[in-house]
Amino acid sequence: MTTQERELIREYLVAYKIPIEVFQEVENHFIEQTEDYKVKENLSFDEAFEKTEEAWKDEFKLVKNVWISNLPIPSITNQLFKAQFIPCLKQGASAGLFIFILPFLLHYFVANLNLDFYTWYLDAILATITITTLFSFLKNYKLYNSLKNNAKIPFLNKHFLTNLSISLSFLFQIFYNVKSFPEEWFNFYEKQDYDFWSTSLFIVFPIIIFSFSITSLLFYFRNVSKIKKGLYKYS
Amino acid sequence: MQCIRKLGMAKNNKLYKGTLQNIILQLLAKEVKMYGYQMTQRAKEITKGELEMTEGALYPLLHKLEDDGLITSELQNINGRDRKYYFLTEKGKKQHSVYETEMKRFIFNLNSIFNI
Repeated sequence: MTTQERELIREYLVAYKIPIEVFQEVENHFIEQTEDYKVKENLSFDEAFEKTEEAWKDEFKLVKNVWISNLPIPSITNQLFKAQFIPCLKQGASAGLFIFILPFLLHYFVANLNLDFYTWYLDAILATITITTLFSFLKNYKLYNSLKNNAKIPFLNKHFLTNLSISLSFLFQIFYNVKSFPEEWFNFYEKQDYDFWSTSLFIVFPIIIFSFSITSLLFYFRNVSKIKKGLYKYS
Repeated sequence: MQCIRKLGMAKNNKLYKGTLQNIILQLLAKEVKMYGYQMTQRAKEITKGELEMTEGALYPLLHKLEDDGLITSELQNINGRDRKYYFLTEKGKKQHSVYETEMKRFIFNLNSIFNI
């Protein structure tokens, strides 16, 4: 296959915005499949490429997924996202549930907890998530900067990093502006003081954000290692 | 045979989707290292063209198996072309031997039922 023909395949995949996480192997698949058609069926490049396109047509059908992009994306990108995101979401939800249940367990099986414990507990969760995020941002800064500048090949994480930053800054706002936050947790777990609005606002809503932040982090870590493995090709 | 072809070709067939993971692990257990296109071709070759894996299901599943630690990947440059090869991990080998026994028993039982 000539360089021009390879370039044509690459441009085709770039036009469909195949993400970097799977770009290399899809490109290789296209090249090998087209070459096979050329040799086995004695076809010209154009005819062979048309057959490859036809074989992939269902994977390139455009679908909507607002988590990834506002614009329609190919079905294969959507399936790849689902295959990776759903396990992360389950793990993030489990972590959120653990954060919610732990004070109950400590309260019933260890001892009554004081207000200081809840201040420490919430600070520890927030600090862990924030430090992990900042550390991974800094550690992979060069990688993400180069990917951001290469607008031709998108990466699945792009949207998630934005969501993660928004979630964390929102959390910061809650923690530093609402001084009674640990007090609400203390009242909920120790005094069993339930009120629909304050429980939703101070307990349930932050736990959802915690879960979402953990999900985003897990998704981020998985994809970073994948991108790193194949990056030298695009640098 | 026509029935099997339809099963393999059907992109949303639940039966086919449920066994794709086992097919991938089985192929990797026998061939040691393989890349995506090679898997589709090998499956087609073994089944004499009856089974065609769909790419849209193959790559997301390969990534999921890698995330689960059952397989691992490595980019290798072969004749100037980068190929992403997949290998079974130790965890994958153990999982494969469990699946293999289960699948053989499942096929044996289905065979017994459909041969009444």
